[in-house]
Amino acid sequence: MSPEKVQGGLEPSETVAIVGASLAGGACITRLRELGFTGRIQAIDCDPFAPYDRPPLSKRFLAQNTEIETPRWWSPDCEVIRARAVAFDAQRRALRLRDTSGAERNISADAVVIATGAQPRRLPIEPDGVFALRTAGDALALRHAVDAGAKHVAVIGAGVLGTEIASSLRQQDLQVSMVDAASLPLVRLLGRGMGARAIDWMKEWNVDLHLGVRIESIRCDHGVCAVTLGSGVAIESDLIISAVGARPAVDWLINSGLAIRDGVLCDASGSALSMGHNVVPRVYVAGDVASVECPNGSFARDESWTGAKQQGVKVAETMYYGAQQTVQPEPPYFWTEQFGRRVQILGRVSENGAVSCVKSVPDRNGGLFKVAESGAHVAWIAINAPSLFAQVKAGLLP
Amino acid sequence: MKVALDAKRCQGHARCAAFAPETFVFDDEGFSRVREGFENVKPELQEKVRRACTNCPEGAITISG
Ligand SMILES: Cc1cc2nc3c(=O)[nH]c(=O)nc-3n(C[C@H](O)[C@H](O)[C@H](O)COP(=O)(O)OP(=O)(O)OC[C@H]3O[C@@H](n4cnc5c(N)ncnc54)[C@H](O)[C@@H]3O)c2cc1C
Ligand code: SF4
Repeated sequence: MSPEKVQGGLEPSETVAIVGASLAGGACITRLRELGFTGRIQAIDCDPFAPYDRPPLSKRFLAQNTEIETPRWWSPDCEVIRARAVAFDAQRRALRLRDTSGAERNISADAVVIATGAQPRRLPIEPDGVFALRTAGDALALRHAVDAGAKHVAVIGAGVLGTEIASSLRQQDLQVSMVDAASLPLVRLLGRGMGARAIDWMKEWNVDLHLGVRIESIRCDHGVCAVTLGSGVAIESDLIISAVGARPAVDWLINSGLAIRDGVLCDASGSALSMGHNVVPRVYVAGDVASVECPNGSFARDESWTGAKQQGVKVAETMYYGAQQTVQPEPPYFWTEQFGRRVQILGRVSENGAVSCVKSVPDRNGGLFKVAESGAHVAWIAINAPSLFAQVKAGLLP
Repeated sequence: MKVALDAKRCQGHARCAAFAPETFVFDDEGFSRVREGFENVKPELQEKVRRACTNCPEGAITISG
């Protein structure tokens, strides 16, 4: 049975503006077209390469020099405007855009989707010349620096992005040092139990690890770089990459009237909330920039491919029908490829969750693991075990 | 409508089978392939296969025609 449109649903004569032509925005456009929306869609993005997928940038793009390609989730049935949104009035749904020449213009739309994602967080002590990785342009610059002869790279941050970059560069035979204030890598993604095991992967691949350290200073001039630790040890390198997390891209929304707290607040349907936490009509939020209301009343930002994809689809449906649709949510899913391990995580691992091995696959350095929090199952982790993972997905394992 | 799966790209995320279980099957290694005889997609399966295609994070599924 297909749902009924209610008042406030999209009419064919209406225009939708989507800020951010990446995964969340792209999934929204594709879903609107699937639903039969024939009106005008404007997709605004300042990145000259958009749309493209980010996960390969730290994986095969760096390790195997693959190309940037147009993703399958993109629908070309829209107008792409290459400009940066610099201001927004949520009540009037009016956007101010600035193009690369600096020229500004205003547009307004019948419905607006905020899908501007996130951008790298930078340490206050980072000088100019330190690399980060979020965009295709960043990845090309990094590859260029490697091709130009960088031999030794220092990576700041042992989270999922930092460890993937380290792995991809080790595959190219560069020397890699990794620095983090935390005493274990990958804690946010895999928890402390599995993080402790991940240290072995990195040692096996000869990464020079500096964990649980304080960074005193960072120097970077003309290819002579050094990260100096609190202990006085200076790690010298040709290149420094910062991978210390991402923050939502909300700078352009400061005076928009929307509630912003680690992302733009929205209800479970993806409808944006005002400072007084009321729904703002026909303004929606999706992807890494969205701080979504949870059943317990708190707000959370999900930074994952499947999360951004689902949220883009969800706001398309809310917008098209004029009301939230009930869809069976998919469980959270994330993956990473590093140091010869393909890691798949279904569910959400808590930092101190108890990890137990369900099945070991020693000839592949892998296995299937269960994570429990206060006795309750919260997540599965499969390492080099896609067939076991497929069984988990299909509900064949208890 | 035809569907093809690039085995070199597949990373076993198992999302295709979640969206279109009739069309995709897994080998013993946990990688997906198109079920024999399902390369030409029947009308009633087309929407599911389209969804599997846009939900594959590796862009391993191609639809034509
Ligand atoms: C290197 C890397 C590897 C990753 N690997 C994985 C992985 O293995 N698995 C996984 O699940 N997730 C991974 N992720 C996370 C995943 O890619 C993100 O969750 C996803 O891209 C979020 O999509 P989004 O559309 O919300 O935001 P984004 O992809 O960040 O897109 C936002 C878009 O908005 C545009 N924009 C921003 N501000 C403005 C403005 N003011 N005006 C106009 N346009 C603007 C940007 O140019 C960008 O195109 C990875 C991310 C990175 C960076
Ligand atoms: S979703 Fe894509 S990568 Fe995952 S199993 Fe299916 S084809 Fe392979």
